[in-house]
Amino acid sequence: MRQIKRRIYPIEENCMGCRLCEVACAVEHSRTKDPIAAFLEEDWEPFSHTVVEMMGPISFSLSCRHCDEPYCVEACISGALRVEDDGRVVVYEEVCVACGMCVVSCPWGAIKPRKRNGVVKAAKCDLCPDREVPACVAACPNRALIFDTALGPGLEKVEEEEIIEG
Amino acid sequence: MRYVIAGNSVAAVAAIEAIRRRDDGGEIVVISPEPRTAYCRPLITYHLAGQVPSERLPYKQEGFYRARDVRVIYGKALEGLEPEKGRVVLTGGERLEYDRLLLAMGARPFIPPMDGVEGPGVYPFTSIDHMEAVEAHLKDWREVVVVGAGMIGMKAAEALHSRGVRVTIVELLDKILPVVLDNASSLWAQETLEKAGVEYVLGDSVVAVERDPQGGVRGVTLKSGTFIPCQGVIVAVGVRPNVGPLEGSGIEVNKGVIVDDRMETSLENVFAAGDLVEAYDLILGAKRPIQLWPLAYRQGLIAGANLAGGRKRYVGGFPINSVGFFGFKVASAGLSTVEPGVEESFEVLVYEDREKGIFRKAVVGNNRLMGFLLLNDTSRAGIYSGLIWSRMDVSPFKDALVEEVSLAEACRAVTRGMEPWSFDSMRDFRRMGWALFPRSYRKHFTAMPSRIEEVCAFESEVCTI
Repeated sequence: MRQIKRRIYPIEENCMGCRLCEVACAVEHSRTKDPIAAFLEEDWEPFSHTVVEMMGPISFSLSCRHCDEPYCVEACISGALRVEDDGRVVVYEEVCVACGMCVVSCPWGAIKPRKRNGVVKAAKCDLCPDREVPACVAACPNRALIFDTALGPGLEKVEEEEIIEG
Repeated sequence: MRYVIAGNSVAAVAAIEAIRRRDDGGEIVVISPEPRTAYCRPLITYHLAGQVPSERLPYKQEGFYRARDVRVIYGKALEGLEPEKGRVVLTGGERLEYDRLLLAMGARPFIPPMDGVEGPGVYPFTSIDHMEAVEAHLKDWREVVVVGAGMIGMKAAEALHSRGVRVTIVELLDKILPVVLDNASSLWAQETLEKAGVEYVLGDSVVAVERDPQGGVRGVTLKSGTFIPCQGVIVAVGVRPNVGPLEGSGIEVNKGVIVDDRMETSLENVFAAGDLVEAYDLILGAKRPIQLWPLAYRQGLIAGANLAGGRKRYVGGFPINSVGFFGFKVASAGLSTVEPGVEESFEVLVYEDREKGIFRKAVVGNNRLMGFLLLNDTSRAGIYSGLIWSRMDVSPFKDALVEEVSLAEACRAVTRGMEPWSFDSMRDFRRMGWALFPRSYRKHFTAMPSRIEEVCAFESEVCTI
């Protein structure tokens, strides 16, 4: 059973659309983890898992929601996408066959194909396993991203759902 | 409590997980017609092409069943159902009692009537057995005819082509991927096939498989009279729900097993999920079988929860497809092609840029997004699926829908020249992308991420066409 639900929540009101989270994410998921090397020297394109959606005055940084019953895991034909015990939704790249079903099924558009060394694999937010706080959250200058590690509703064993009328 | 699950594919796997989430003690018995653990059927074409090694084919390993204390009966299928006695008949006449039964036998490949179709050299392409049979023949096959240009047909053609076999595709309708593509986008696919060197015949069908005196395949004759020489034939014209074993049990069957929104059939304590069932289609507003992997998983999850005494409800689904062949990528969901005769009920928005290789199409009906089709650039296709789930009014940004990749960018284009904080006009734009929903719903999302369809208000009147 899941112990902790860890998630990144955007706070729309605080976001000013600076896109530093995208830079931080791309750097964190590069090989050298150095901003200049990541953008100029590495043999693959820098790739951010989070996308800042902007519409006029409204902006927020969107990455994977790590859903309780994820659409992408349902759609994955190879078993490469799994829900870990700690509630993270993770891509096992060596199993992924790049069929694209997860990309089409995620209603947030938070999972994208990533080409690296000529091989396409699904890529999504992994909540930065090497870090205590994800890079995007640490980079946000305006507290528009918060990292929640509280015990979530996923803790209960059974989530009863009411039958919606109509 | 004994749960019996007939079938061992994705719906069964999802049901096992859902049952074990609620009931640790109950006995689970899985009837697996094939002597192997659950595996991914779409992956067999990848394996034939040499992209996936055989050890990656299983969807779940032996350990999955062991960890969940599941007994699997390999090599036996469900042959009959005796609901009044509460038991099922297995291959060989063995009876098995159940308290709760889940029917997840999936679908069978449909073989259209053709002369000489019986015998060696003609195979469907839906299971590992079919794939292994085809692979064993590859060394003496130089030319193969693939009947049907659907998902399976195209992927099989690609795999065979990559193994050095000359492939000819024969399709009854006048387009490639007839369920997904329209005539314009089919031209893109045809161009790809021509570049790759794959022959195709559209608008024709195979009437006879010609055999030499030893019984081997010598070629096929088409309805137009053309003879295509080949040594093997792959039949991929679709699948039909495997309802044969349920005959005489009194279960309500139309094209597939009819289920209610709890995935329960007309018989008590008998549930069904997966390719076998006729479940609610959110787009058409009617029940019909949709034979796709993600829907089978979802239905299995809900059926499993309800088997174990839960109260989960299936709100419906719509087809979601993503397929790539010869470097050509197609992503679609819902109603991506409108049949002739009903065009006036829909607005079809198309954006085509041949130089950049972009083709985007959105089908809007009753101001709701009903389906979409994206070629080549599919990276943010999911947002369109989210729009279908949300059933929001897309009329204010209809034109921008297909013109720009990022929906946020599209929104910005639309909102230009508007009062920035006029909430009435902004309300619908604010729902775009992650902000797909009214503010109150978004608050709900930040508090507890949940599934879209559970928090969306479904308006039944917009579903019907």
